Amino acid sequence: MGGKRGRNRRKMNGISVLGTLLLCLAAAAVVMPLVWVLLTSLKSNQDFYTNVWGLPKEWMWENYGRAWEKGSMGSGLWNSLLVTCGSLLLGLTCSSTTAYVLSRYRFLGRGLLRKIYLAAIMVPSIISLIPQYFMLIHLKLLDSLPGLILVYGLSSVPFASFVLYGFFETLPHELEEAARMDGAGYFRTFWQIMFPLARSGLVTVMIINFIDYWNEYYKALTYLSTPEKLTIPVGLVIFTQQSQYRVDWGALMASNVIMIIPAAVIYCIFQNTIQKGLTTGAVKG
Amino acid sequence: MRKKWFCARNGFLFCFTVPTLALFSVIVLIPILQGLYYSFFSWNGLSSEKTFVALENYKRLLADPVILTALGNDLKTAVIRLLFTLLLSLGLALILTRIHVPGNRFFRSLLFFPTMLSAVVVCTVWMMLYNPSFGILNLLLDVIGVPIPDAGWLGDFRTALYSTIPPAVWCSVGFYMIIFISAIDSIPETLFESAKMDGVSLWVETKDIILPLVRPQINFCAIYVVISSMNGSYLFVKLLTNGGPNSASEVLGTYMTTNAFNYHQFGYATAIGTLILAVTLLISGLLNKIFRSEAYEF
Repeated sequence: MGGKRGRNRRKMNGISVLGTLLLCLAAAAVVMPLVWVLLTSLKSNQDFYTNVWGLPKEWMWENYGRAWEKGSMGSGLWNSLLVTCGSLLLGLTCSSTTAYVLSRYRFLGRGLLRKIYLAAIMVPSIISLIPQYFMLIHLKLLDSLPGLILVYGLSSVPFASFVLYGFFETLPHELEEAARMDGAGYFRTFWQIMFPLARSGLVTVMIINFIDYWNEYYKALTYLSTPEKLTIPVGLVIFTQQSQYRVDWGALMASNVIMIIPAAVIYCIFQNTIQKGLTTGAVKG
Repeated sequence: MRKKWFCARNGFLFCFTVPTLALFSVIVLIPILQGLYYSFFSWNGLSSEKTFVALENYKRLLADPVILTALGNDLKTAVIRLLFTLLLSLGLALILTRIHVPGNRFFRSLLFFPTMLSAVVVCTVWMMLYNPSFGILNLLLDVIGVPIPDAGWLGDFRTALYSTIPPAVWCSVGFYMIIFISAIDSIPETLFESAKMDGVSLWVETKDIILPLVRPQINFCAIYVVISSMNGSYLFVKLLTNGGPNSASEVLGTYMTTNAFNYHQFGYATAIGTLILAVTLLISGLLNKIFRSEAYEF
């Protein structure tokens, strides 16, 4: 992108101006609502009703304190972090080992295994919502973070394996032979040689999964019930529902900002990787 | 020696496939099959006894008027989402690749950002925008002179369903835009050079060079938008209207979860789940068939 490309871009003034205008319009459609949320998060209720669009008259930073307490954003943040990291670890372990073996070894049942995971990609996740609920009850893992981690981590295995399969497949076979000659066992060959070489694929999968896990709310809402165990999107849903009768706009919007900030920070740092990762991951699927 | 090698290899293969498959079966595979199985029973989810009712749930499905509304709403949502998402993302991608605009990279990263947001945040933001007493949409539409429904956009039965679509489009356009940008950027520059020499207009360049060459990406996006709408529009509907008013904006996903967790009709709910699966597979199969026509090469 950028750089040498675009030498033949049109520079006609009229079109250039029109294009820029359209882009500004689109950018405003993205930015304005978010800025509004940010501003509202710093207003008192009264200030909000009398002055919907302007800057806060008084900057009410204590809204964030109330969001942290009443909206249980504090525990939500921690639970979300725990669930996201746990699911990433589980999902990556399961999918990278499966993808590695499927792409580089021939064994009995390989074809069947591949078919199972490929077919599972096609099945919309919504249909497992209800039976999974009863499976979790059965395993005594309903309303527990480990249960949610199992659900998240394993639901992402088919797609993640599929993406990683493509990455492992491209690595040269000589590497494994050389490692074997040097006396490395199967496990060491995987862990010390192949795993690091598939790094770009692993990063792609990690990013896609991170965003999915961090943002997921419906399964979490269905499978968790104890207030102390809720992840941050669920906490936000419940806080919004409670606000139907007496709205504390400042605290509500502050909760939203708290939820947006981690995503925004990660986006700022890994922007290019995220854009590339999400789109290559998707196109490969 | 040979036997030892054999054991090591098999042990390794076992460790790398079986535990994952076992966990995957318990958490994902078996529940999917159980869903099909439950759909032949009448079950309130609480008692341990399920009554086998054969195809009774499916018969009810065919007779239930809400199912028809919900299915229609799902299809409407998918088509409208597809139309707007493709139009906007392709348009923005074209501007960002073929026209000289200042701050190109800035616009790219800004427009992609909503992809990172959770449906929960997106819906809260849009609920504010739709709010009948202070939402900015009403303010803007009032200026143009569009009549605003008394119950608000989300509360009126004529507009409720359509109001759940813009939030979904808003947070996914950037994603498809990036796909189209990288597709257009991978078209050989020589094609554009010769087009420039021949003095073709931007419109002709788009129509005769770019669109045919990004056909594979357009096909991919079409399938992806439709499937993610069938599978995910209930996330937005649930938060914005909860299927209301009076089932006007119900989609299959919301109707399924309401039947399960509010009415405790788990057998019927899983039958709806099976219907969602069937419709999704049917549509994606159909789209795949339509798009299998040959792609252009360069």
